[in-house]
Amino acid sequence: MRLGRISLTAFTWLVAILFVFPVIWMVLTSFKTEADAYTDPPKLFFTPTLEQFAGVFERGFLPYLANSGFVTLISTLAVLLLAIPASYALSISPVKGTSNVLGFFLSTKMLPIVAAIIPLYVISQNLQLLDNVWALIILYTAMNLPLAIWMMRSFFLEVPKEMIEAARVDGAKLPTLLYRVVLPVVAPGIAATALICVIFSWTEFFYAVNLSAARAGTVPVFLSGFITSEGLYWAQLSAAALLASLPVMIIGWIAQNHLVRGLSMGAVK
Amino acid sequence: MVSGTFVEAPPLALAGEAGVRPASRETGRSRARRLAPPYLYLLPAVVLLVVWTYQPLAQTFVLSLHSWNLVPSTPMEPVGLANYEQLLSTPELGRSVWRTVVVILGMLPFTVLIPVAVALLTRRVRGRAQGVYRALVFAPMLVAPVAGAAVWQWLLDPSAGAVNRILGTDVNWLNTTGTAQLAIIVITGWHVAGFAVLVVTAGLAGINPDYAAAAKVDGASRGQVTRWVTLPLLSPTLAFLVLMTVLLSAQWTFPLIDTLTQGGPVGSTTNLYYLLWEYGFRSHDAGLAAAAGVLFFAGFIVVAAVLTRLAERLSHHDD
Repeated sequence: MRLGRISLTAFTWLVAILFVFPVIWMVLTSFKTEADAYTDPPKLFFTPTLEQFAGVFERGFLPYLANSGFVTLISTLAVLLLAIPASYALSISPVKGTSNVLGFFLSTKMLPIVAAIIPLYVISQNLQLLDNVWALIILYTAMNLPLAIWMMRSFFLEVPKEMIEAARVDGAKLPTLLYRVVLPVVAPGIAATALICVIFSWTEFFYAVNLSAARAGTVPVFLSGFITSEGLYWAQLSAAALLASLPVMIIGWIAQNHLVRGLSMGAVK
Repeated sequence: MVSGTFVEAPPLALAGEAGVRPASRETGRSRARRLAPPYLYLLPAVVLLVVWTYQPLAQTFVLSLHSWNLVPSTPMEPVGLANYEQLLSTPELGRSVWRTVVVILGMLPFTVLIPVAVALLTRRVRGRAQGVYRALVFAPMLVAPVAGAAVWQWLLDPSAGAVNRILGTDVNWLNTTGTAQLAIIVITGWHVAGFAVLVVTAGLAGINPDYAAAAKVDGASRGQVTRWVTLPLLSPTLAFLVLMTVLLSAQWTFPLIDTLTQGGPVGSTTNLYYLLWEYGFRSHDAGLAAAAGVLFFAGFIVVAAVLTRLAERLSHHDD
C-alpha cells in the first residue's frame, strides 16, 4: 500500500520530467558550442557561451522579432476592443438569440483554415497586404476573437446582477458601467483572455508562412527558414528556438494560475 | 421601463461621479437608441468574422468550380465539376484521408488519456510543488510549434540525437516511412498535451467536491470514486477534448510536417490538411485545392454534428 503510493508519486514526477526534457535539452544545447553539443555521451557540465545567441541575431533575427511583437500586441488589443462590447451584449445586456450568436462565433473556429487559405491569399494580394504585417494582424484578430468572446462572456456572467441594475438605475452610461462596475470584477478574466491571445498569436505559423516572407515575417517564419537551411548547427538552432519561445514562456509561467482559472470559467463550460 | 419606474431610487456610490444623470421619461426615439446599442456592440466582431472567415470560404466554393493557377494576370476558367471528378479519382485522396484518421487516433492518447491521468495525479501533489509540477507539464505548450520542431529535429537526429542515444538505436526517425508519421504524432502530442492537461485541470476544479465526499461516506475507495463519480462528471470536458482532437489534429501537425518532413518520406506524412495545402501552394492548382477544401469542410460539418450529438447524449451534467 505504502509502496504503491510512493511508486505512483515517482511515476507522476517521471511524466513531468518526460514532458519538460526536450525544453531543458533545448536550453542546455543553446549555451553550448557546436562541438560541445555533439559529444557522446552528452556533456552536462560545460563552459556556457552566448556565442550562439549572438549568431542568431547576426542572421537578422531582430526584424522578425519586431514583427512578432507588433502583430501580437496590436491584434491582442484589437481582440479586447471588439470582444469586450460583444461579450457585454451576450451576457449583461443579452440580445435576442444570444445562443445563436454564440453558435455563430464558435462555428468560425470549426472551419478548417486551410480550406480558406487560397482566397485569403488572393484577397491579401488584391488589397496589397501580401507580406504585410496588417494582414496578419487582421487574421490573428479574427482567429482569436471567438474564443475571447466565449471566455469573456462567462466572466461577465459572474458580475452580480444587483450591481449592474443599481448602476443602471442611476443612469450610468455604458462606458461608466463597464469601467466602474464590470471591469473590476472581470479584470482577471480579461488578463487570462489576453494571455491566451498572446500565446496563440506569437506561436501561429500557418497564416504567417503563407502570407508573409522577408518583410513581414514573424519569428516562426524565421525559425522555419533556419531549420531547413541550418539543420546541422544544433547549438545555434537551439538558441534560435529558445529565443523564439522565451517571451511566451516567461509570460505563461508567471500567469499559469490565471490561465487555469480563465479556462475553467471560459472555454470548457 | 426601468428608468421610468425607479426614478426615485437613491444614487449608489458604485455608479461613480461621471455619467450619473437623473433618468427621464423616454420617447420613441430614445427607446430605439436604448435598445439598439447591444446589437451595435456585436456588429464589429460579427462583420470581421463574416468578412475574414465565411467570405473566403464562399470564395473557395466558387473557386472549386474553376481552373486557375493563382497568377493574377491569367483568367479563371469555369470548368464545372471537373475539379471534383479529378480529386475523387486520385488515389492520393484516399491515402491522405486514411493518414488523417491515423493522426487523429494517434493523438487521442495525448489529448485525452495522458491529460486525464496527469490531471488526476496532479491532485496528489500539494502546495508549492503543485505550482512547480504544473509549470513542468505546461512548458511544451509555451514552446512555439516551429521551435518544438527545431528541438525535436535535434533530439531525433540519426547520428547525435538524444533519442537514439538513450534507446541505443540508430533510426533515422524522420526519414523512414514507418516512423515519420509516428514521430509527427508524438511531437504534436507532446506539444498539445499541456493544453489538454490545463483543460482537464480546469474541468476537475469545476466539479463539486460534495459528490466525492458523499461517495466516500458511503464507503467507496479512492479508485471507485474516480471511476464512478469523478470521470462521469468530467464527461463534458472529455467530449470537448475529443471534438477538438478530431477537428484540429491535422491542423496542429502542419508546422511540424512543413518544417520536418514536407509530407514525406514517399508521402507517408501527407495527411488531408497538408495535401490540400500542397495542391494550392506547391502545384498552384487553385481549383483542385478549393475542391478539396470544400469536401474537407463538408466532412468537418458532418463529423462535428455527429460528435456534438453523441457528446450531448453521453454527457452527465452536474446539475
